[in-house]
Amino acid sequence: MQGKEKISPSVNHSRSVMHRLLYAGKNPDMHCRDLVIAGREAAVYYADGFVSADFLQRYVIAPCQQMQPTDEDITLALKENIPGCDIVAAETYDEAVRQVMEGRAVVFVEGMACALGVDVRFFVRRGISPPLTERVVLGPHQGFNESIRDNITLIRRMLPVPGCIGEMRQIGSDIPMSLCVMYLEDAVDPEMLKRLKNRLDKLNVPHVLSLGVLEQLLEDRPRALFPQSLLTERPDRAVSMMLEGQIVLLLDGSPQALVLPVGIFHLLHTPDDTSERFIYGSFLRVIRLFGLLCALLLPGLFAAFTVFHPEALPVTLLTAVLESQAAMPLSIPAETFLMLMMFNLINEAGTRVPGIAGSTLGTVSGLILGQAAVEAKLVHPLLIIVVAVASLGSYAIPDYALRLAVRLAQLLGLAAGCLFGLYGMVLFCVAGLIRLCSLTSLGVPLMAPLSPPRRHHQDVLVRGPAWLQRPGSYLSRRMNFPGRMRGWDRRRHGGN
Amino acid sequence: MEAIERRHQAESRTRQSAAGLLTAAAIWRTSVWSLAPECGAACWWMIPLCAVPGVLMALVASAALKCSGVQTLPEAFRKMLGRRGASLWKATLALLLLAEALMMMTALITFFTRGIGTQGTPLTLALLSGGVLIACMHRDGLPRGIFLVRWVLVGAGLIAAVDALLMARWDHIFPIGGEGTEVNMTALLSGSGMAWPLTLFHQEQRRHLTKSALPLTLAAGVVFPVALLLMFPHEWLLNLQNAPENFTAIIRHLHPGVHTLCQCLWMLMLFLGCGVSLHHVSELADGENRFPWLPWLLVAVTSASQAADACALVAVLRPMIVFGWMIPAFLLLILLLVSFFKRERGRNGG
Repeated sequence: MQGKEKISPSVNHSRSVMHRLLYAGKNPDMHCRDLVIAGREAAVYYADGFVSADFLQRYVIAPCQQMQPTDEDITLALKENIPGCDIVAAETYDEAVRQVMEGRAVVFVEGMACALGVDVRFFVRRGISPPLTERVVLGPHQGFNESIRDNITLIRRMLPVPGCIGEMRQIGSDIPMSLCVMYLEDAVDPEMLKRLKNRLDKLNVPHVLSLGVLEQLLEDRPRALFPQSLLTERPDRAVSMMLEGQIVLLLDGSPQALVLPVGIFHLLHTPDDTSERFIYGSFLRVIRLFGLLCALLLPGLFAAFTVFHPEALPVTLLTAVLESQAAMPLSIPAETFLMLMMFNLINEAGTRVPGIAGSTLGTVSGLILGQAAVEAKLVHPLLIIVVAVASLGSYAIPDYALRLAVRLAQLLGLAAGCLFGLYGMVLFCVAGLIRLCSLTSLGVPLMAPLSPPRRHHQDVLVRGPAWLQRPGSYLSRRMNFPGRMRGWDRRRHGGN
Repeated sequence: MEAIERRHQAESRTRQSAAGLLTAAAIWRTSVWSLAPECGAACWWMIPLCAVPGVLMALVASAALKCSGVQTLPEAFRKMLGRRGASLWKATLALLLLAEALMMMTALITFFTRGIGTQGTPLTLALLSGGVLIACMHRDGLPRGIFLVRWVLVGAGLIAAVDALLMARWDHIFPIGGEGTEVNMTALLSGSGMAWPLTLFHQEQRRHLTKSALPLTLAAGVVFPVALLLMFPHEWLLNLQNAPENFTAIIRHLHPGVHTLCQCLWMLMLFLGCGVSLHHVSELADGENRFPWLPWLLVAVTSASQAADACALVAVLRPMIVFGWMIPAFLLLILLLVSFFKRERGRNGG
């Protein structure tokens, strides 16, 4: 209750309240510097480790100490004398505490019915480094870090226009964290933006520590297998999505950006597709799609054909399968399931073991386990190839969440193939497609612009030429850009 | 507003593709179950002929919409015949679609049990199919999914049709009259309503209707069974009974890969056809989506119906569909006449 109290003009009262609210007796890093400002008693609160001692001394304490007693309003006098570029007044003790926790130096003066928070922030933070999970061949090698200020700056540097809006808000009732909603004013769909803001306003959570949690709180169907939003470590990717009318969320402490709404095809695109020539970009997308289909369907199809439809296999292959299967203790469905689980185990172990040892672990265990299993006649040699191709296919998927979803769906497909053969696989594919079509991302169908059909650029399954890529998309308000992009090219099909 | 209109048009296109799939599945089912054994060699022209009443129904519906000046059939019935007329139209359509869904499910299960010899009781397989169907019963997801795979289905049908035509025995077109006029009249009656789902296109907004939707649906629905039946020896056609396993018997003569493709296609068409029928029933019964569990209940009832004997089910459902389509046809005719006279009165009076 004391937190909601308006700030008292009495510094002594303010000291006792702030001491209690900041747990100053137990938190040795919560400091209070007593001083005299313009002949009046004053106190400056700050959190050690959040502020720059040099800035605090030079731009807050020294100027305040040099102030002479004055008849004018002390608040105005302070604002004139303190050279800090960002001074915010706090009306309540809660606001004052929040400003201390944000890294400001909060000044209380006798007779002043508010507190002034001066920005002297200096957090220890990780520098800009390449993204860990989204590597590209061409394109920038900068990734987000944990500082929301740095992340906003990275985006603004790529979009140096005033229409690049970054609305700040606090999220979490008990532990407020800074959240930035970024969008391009003339590209975003106002209805979508309103929908997102409405969801953010109606969130009732004590704290949100990562964007992954926020993603689950904002998704249309959080229990669905497939993701309905995108987490990216790359500022260039976030910017390209803002240009298409999508909205980017940045959370302090999270080195990613959450993008909404997305389509399923956005999860298969990489910045390399844009940076490369359109033929290469399209080829890479086709490879990725092929990889996704292999990951999803290959194990199930293998089980379906070998168990239910052996007549569909070539005779030599069928003979090889049946001959080697005769010596195996397990059935093909059981072997397939076992190998898929082994692969997932190797993958998880390799992710948790840090550095070079992790990749070495994956390679060695895959080789050794696979080879040993074949020589011990536990699994079929062809099955190793099937599982390896399926695994490689899943690694070709750029989005981590989609990759995990495909690995789970792979097991469902295997069950469908093992139990019902090709008919089960067909039903699995159709049912899966229909479920995908039923998903929405911020109200926009996930399979758009293919189904339901929406007007779109040639940038869904394959990448069209760069000079045909107009600004905006089916998600944004605009989709036109007049004139030929290759204005110098006067050939009939050269510039447009 | 323009963006909203474009979105509605896009969603309408997806629902049109669902209606097209249901029509094609109904044509295939009737052709293979009823027309093939009853017509013999005449089925290659009986199939397109039996599609004509359905086309006429769609044309009457289109004319009625033009005369009444509204966009959809329910609106036309409400405007011209009042709320009771609209309710009667919805109820008739819903019952017919429910019967169609039960037929499709029966065809699917008997395809599994008698056609390809899947182990398991009909009820177990029906419950499993129903379980998968429940996963697909999403108001927007189902038509969108069908829209997405429409060209895959058409392509698969085309491959099968081309393979069948390449093996067709063109002397099968004789005798033209089949096995006798009487048999053909019986066949005409039993197959005459097979294209009635074309009317479902006019449940959508008229301005959103794609011009090529109906012709493409008819082409897809008619060409495939005609091609298959041209390939099948006509003396063997006579040995087919009015039985659900006719399809597997007919496609046995295709190349192995195409044979498997046809089986998958048939299964998919029946599965999705059942889903679309139940989807329409739930929309007709609960347009405002106040009971989201209704589609699941319909699926459960459809699956549970397979506890009964398949032949008995078919014996009950077939007359419902064979004669049932005449009721909405009659209602459409009344609607057309009322719309026409009201329009003429309005012109003369105003």
